[in-house]
Amino acid sequence: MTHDLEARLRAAYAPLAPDPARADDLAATLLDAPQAPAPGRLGRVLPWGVAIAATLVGAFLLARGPAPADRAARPAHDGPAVTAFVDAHGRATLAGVDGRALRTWELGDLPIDLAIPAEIGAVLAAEVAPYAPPVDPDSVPRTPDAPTLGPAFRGPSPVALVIDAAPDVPWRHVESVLLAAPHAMLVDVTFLDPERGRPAVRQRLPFVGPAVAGDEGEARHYRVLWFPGVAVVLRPDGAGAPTAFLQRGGEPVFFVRDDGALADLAVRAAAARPADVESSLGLEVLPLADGDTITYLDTFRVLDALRDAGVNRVLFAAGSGRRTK
Amino acid sequence: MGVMELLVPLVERARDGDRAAFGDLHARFARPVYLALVGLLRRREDAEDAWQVTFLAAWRHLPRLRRADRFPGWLFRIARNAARDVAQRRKRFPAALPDASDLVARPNGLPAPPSAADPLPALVGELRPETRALVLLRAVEGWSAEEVAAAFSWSASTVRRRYARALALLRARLTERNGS
Repeated sequence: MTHDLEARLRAAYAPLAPDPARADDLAATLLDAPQAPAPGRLGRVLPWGVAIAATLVGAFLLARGPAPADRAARPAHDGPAVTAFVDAHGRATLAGVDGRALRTWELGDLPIDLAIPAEIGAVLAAEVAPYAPPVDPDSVPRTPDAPTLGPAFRGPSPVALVIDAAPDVPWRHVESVLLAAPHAMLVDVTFLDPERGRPAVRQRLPFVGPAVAGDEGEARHYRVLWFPGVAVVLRPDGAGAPTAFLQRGGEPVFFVRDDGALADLAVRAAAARPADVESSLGLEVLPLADGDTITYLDTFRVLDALRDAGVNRVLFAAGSGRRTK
Repeated sequence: MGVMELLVPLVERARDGDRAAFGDLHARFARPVYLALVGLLRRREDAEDAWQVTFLAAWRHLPRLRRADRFPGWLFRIARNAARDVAQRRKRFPAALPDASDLVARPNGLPAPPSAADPLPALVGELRPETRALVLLRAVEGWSAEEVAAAFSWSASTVRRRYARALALLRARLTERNGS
């Protein structure tokens, strides 16, 4: 049966062959066609080199592990929140309100270019825009700039910003994300414990309503309560150990990695803080000239201690003079 | 002396620019490559275009073939790439091409199949392109499973299995047609 079928196929297709005219064409073309030169040593090695390099790059990327957005589950936040993941490699990834990754920035070496917080802020603003509260028309000043200034009068965004950073990441990297928060009028910031042992620290960035600054009609979204009267300053000591002190002359220095010292600092800071409920506490992180050894974990420990002393409104300020406004 | 033992010196000479040696290779592979291309593309004009491109490319790039014993697989890979290019061109300019998808059933310029009522060529045309090429090479050109395997970079057992399955399918459909 098989042989019969094959015989029928042979009979049907036996005459099938290229058109003789096309075959002649090909033969004539082949007579004149030159051959490509044989590849040299480099030509033989290069493709392998490229393949090996691509494999190594792929292996390296795999070894870096999953993107920060895929990290372990984090405590849920009440209400809508965007999350900023900052990994130990200095990559900041924003996750939207629905959890999808929005974009990743390579923060790179310190100091960080201020253009990056502006970019992060633009992405944050676009993400939280649908949640923006309505503008109260009565609060908008009747000036020709009102259409431009209108959005500034919406008030703080109801969307929270959750910071989820690796313990050893320099605080400067986290600070880049904080500097972006005002662009989207985010004031509710939750810092997750990088060691996951303690509850998250929730702080509200000082915000007392919109204000129009006098210079060229520029709208400033934040009227920051600066100077709050008291500030805690973090900086490495001469040996690089993270320390904190109250920004007042003669105050002792507290070692950030000492729980007892931190508790003492918190008590002193709470006592020194003005009674005005709108006053915020300053928290300033200063780098050393040769780099920043204050990590996210160090700052989180201070925030945690201050929270225990009733401080829930912190103005973050950087040594370079940048502030969260 | 095996086929490959005859083939390798030819390929080596052609690789060094010997046109006569390449002529011998062409004589050996012209029809198998053409049959495979007919199987892949179905239209005779398309198959001839790809066939010319295949041998021209093979001649030009032969100096880059390091393992002469891999010539059949290399040549058929060029043919498959050429067929893919032709098929994409056909898809891009469909209006310029006549509807002649039943080439295998009635090749242009060729004598009609033994019987105009013979449904076998039409049934072959319904097979998947690579299976069609496989059937034409084995049944019509008489290639062994090993030769087809070398050309298609498959294993010989895969070739046997696919060929047996294709023949069984053809047989079943023939029975079905005859029955109806």
